[in-house]
Order: sequence, then structure tokens, then C-alpha cells
Amino acid sequence: MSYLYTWAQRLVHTPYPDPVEADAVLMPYRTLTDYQAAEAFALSALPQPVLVGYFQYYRLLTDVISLLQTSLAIDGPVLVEISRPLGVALPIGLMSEGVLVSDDTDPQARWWSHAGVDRVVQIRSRIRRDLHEFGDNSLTVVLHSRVDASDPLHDILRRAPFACAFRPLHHAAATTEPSAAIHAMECMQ
Amino acid sequence: MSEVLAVPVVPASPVKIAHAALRMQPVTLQEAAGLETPAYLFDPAVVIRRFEALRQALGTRLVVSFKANNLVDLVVRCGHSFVDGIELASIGELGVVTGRIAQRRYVNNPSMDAAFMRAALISGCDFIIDSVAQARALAAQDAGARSPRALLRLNAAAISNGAVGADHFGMGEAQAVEAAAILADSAVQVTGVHCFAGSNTFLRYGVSHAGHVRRALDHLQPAVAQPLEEVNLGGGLPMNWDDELGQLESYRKVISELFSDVSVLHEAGRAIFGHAGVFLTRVVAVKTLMDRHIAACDGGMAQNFLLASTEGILRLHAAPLLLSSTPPAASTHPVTIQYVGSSCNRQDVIGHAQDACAAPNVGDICVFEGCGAYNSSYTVRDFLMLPAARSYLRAV
Repeated sequence: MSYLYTWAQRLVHTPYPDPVEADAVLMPYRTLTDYQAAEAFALSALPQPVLVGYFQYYRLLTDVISLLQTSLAIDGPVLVEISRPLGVALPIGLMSEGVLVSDDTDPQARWWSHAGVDRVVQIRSRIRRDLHEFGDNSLTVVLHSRVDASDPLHDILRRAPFACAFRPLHHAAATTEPSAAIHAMECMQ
Repeated sequence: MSEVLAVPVVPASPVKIAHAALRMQPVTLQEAAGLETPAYLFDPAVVIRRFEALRQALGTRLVVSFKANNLVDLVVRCGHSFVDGIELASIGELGVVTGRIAQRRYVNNPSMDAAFMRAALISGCDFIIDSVAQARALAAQDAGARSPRALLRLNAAAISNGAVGADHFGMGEAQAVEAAAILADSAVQVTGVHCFAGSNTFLRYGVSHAGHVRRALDHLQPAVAQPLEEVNLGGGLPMNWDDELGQLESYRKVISELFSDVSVLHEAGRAIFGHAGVFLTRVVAVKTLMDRHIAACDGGMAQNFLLASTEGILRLHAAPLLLSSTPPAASTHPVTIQYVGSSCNRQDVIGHAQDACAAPNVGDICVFEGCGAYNSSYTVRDFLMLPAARSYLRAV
């Protein structure tokens, strides 16, 4: 029997109260036609504001990973799905053993789920760090577990210091059917 | 109906945002202690609230003057709320905003060169035309499939017979007609006029300025082929406009009566950003000269030129708030403190406190309020190769 638990939340304000140094990145214009190309990035409908820059974004991911690694006996990898690793250097927490950063973690999640490990964590971020990025400010954490018959994710993440900056995207429920949860995550994007 | 008039205009309504929410919460010692100085600290939430409140108070569309604060991160945090667009004065500013802001972007510079004009054209900007020559240059551009919009910039003194102070921006009515005729033979759509009476002129000239623009519009419309559907009255609003809501209410009524047939815009920079930023600098040395205590700081006019107050007739220096981790040694009599910056320029005096209880200590942090607009962007940075101020943002 395997279980799948999903914590799917939306960032609604900055997760850290202290001021942060400005770290937005200027686009590297080289020719005049770059301005025409860049225009296409501007989104006419902006459902979610930018609440964090690059530094705070990576700090948040590192905090989530650290919390899960210390709270759960994760014997598989923490799979982190992020786009465009720009802005600032990736923190060491994302480069450490047991963490795999990729632009698509589903194949790895499937492989590890069938590889006999007890717990694999998948983190999918759609948090905007700049106005030219898509995203709905969602953060989804999925636990693939062979050993947890009740949801440990909710209690762990609910008590996290950064949790107050999030609101539920939907009522995540435990299921033994991984494909349904993955599909639900896809629909949210 | 044209695209210009299709943009929703804010219904006239009283400002519903509390006055206190339009100012930054005071900086605490704990907050300041974590910042490397010299530094600016900005509050994006205050920027957004001030924009929304001013838009409500004016009852018109409101364009953000990017030159007042060109920090990229502030655009990133606040850009979604700048629904009526941004005014840009250089290709550098255009480079920050392009790709980030889908709202209208107005480019406005009397000396716009070919590269700036081309970049603005191909990235979909609107033009504010300053002269006949500029109209001719824009008309000569290959616009491809685009139909760029343009406003004719009128000179406020010229259309009011000198009722407001003269400056070198814009055109007289005859020149505006000539510019419109040139643009009529191109892909450019002339959609209206722009006229700005100058910084901080709103309280004194706002109503009369609007009347002069109305008359100019009525003179121009029969003479130009294009329907003039849009009027940009500029801004000139003071930083403390939220202390003058009664006058704004009267102004709004005048505007709604004068311009019921056209779409009205205003522009604002210091009115939006001014109270959304503070400047912080640490005291690095103290001494006494005659009857003055001198506090030498790690930041000054090289990071915040306006604090030196060199441009007015009177040099009126601000008194900073002092954050100290050590209890001040109380003086038996009031003391005068002069806060000086980090350059060897004798004009680098950035603050003054009369009748203070105690002299500052080394390590104290000076907080200068109301430094969110122009203080950073209007600072010459190369003298002595001093370090630039860092910029921090509060959480949103």
C-alpha cells in the first residue's frame, strides 16, 4: 500500500517580516529588437502579485526542505521543481545530498515511488519572483509514502513559521491513487 | 469608442484609505540594526495604498512617474497595481519596465534620441510629443503594423499667457497644430494633449491650469484632424497631498465638469513614493566645533543629494530620528547638531537638529523620513567613488 499526501497552498504575503535587500534582475538588452521581444513577457492579466524576490524565494524553499528533512525520515530524495534559477546563487540547501532540483520532477517521483523507498517528497513551486514570470504563487508539497497511514505533512507544515503567509489552494486529501493527485496539481497551474 | 476611452475611469468617491495607512510605520531599532547603511528602506504596501488613494481622490486615471523612484524591485512588487500605466523618460527606464508592465507606458523626453524612440515604438509605448521636430522624427519611423498613440505636449506658460512659470517643455498651440498635421500623415494616432504646470504647483495652480488646458483643447480640436479624446494634466501634487483632501475634493468637481467629454489623466511621482521610503545612515564620528555638535555619517549627499538641500533659496535641513542602542548622555542644556555626509564637499550637510536633548553617539542610526521619491534617483553617484546606498524593501 502506498499513500500520497498533498499540501497545496497559495502565498498571500511575504513569509518573512524582516526587510530584504533589493535583488531584482535587469534584462540584458543588447539590441533594440530585444525591447520588442521583451514586450511579450509582460502579462496583461496579473492574478497574483509578486510577494518575494529571488533571495526570499530560495530561503523559503530551503526552509521547507529543511523542515521536512528534520521532521520526516525521508529515505528517498526531496524533488524540487523550480523554473529559471536566476537572480541569486542557489543556496546550499538546494545543492545538498538528498535534494534534486529539476524543471519536471514527475518522472523522478514515479521512479522513486517504485524503487522501494519509504518516503519521497516532491515540491512544486509556482511562486512569482518577477513580473515577467507566470505563476499563481502556489506551493505544493507531495509526500509519496509507504509507511504513513495518516497525513503527517499537514501537521508539520501547519506549525512552520512561514505557514501564516499561505492559504489553502484546495482541500488536499490523502489518496492511494498517485495519478489523481498529480493530475489535480497539473490543473492548478 | 476608441481604446483610450475604453479604459475604465475611477468613479468619483471620497478617499477610503485611512491617513495613517498612507505613511510608513516608524522604523524600529531592531529593524534598522539589520540593515547595512547607508540605505533606503521602502514599503511597497504604502506605495500601493498611496497610489490607490490618490487615484480615488482625483477621480481620474493616474500615471506613475517612474523617474521619482526607479528601483526595479518596487516596480516588481507594485507594478500590478499601476493600472493606468507608467511615464518613462529614458531608454534605461524603458528597459526596466518593458516585459514587466503590460499597462500603458508613456515615453516623454524633449531630447528623445533615435534609439530611445525606436525602442519605445517597437515595444508598444505611447509618445508624448514635445516639439514639431519630434513629431517629424516619429512620423518618419517605420511603424510596421503598429499604430502608436501620441499626446501633444503643450507648454503650460504658453497656453496661459504666463500665468504659470515658464519652462522649456512642450509647444504653443500653433506648433501643436503643426505637429498634429505631420503625425496625421503617418501611422501615429494623436489621441490628446499633455500639459504639466511644474513640480509642486498643484495646490496653487491646479484649478486654473485645468481651465487653461480646457481652453487650449477647444482651440486645438477644430484645427487638428484627429479627435482629441485624452487629456493629461500632469501632476505637480505635493508629497503631503493627503493633508489637503478638501482641496482635492473641490478640484475633482472642477475636473469632472470641465472634462466631461474626454478621458483625464494625472501623473504623480512624489505624491505616490515620497512617504513610502526612508533613508538610513549611521553616525561614524562625532565632534564639537564651537557651539555645534557634528555627527559625521556613513551616507550623505553622495547617496541622497536632496537631503543636502542645495537647490532651494534657503537650505532647510531635515532633523532625523535617532535610533540608538546606547542611552544618550543627557546634556544640561539644549544642543545643536549638524549631520554631515561622507564626502569632502562642504555642502555635504544633510541634517540639522536645534535644541536637541543630547548629542548623538557613534553607531546611532539616523532615519530621514519622506525619502521615497527622487532622493535616490536624483543623486549624482560618481563623486569620490563612494558606495551607493543599498535598497531594502519591507514585507508585503
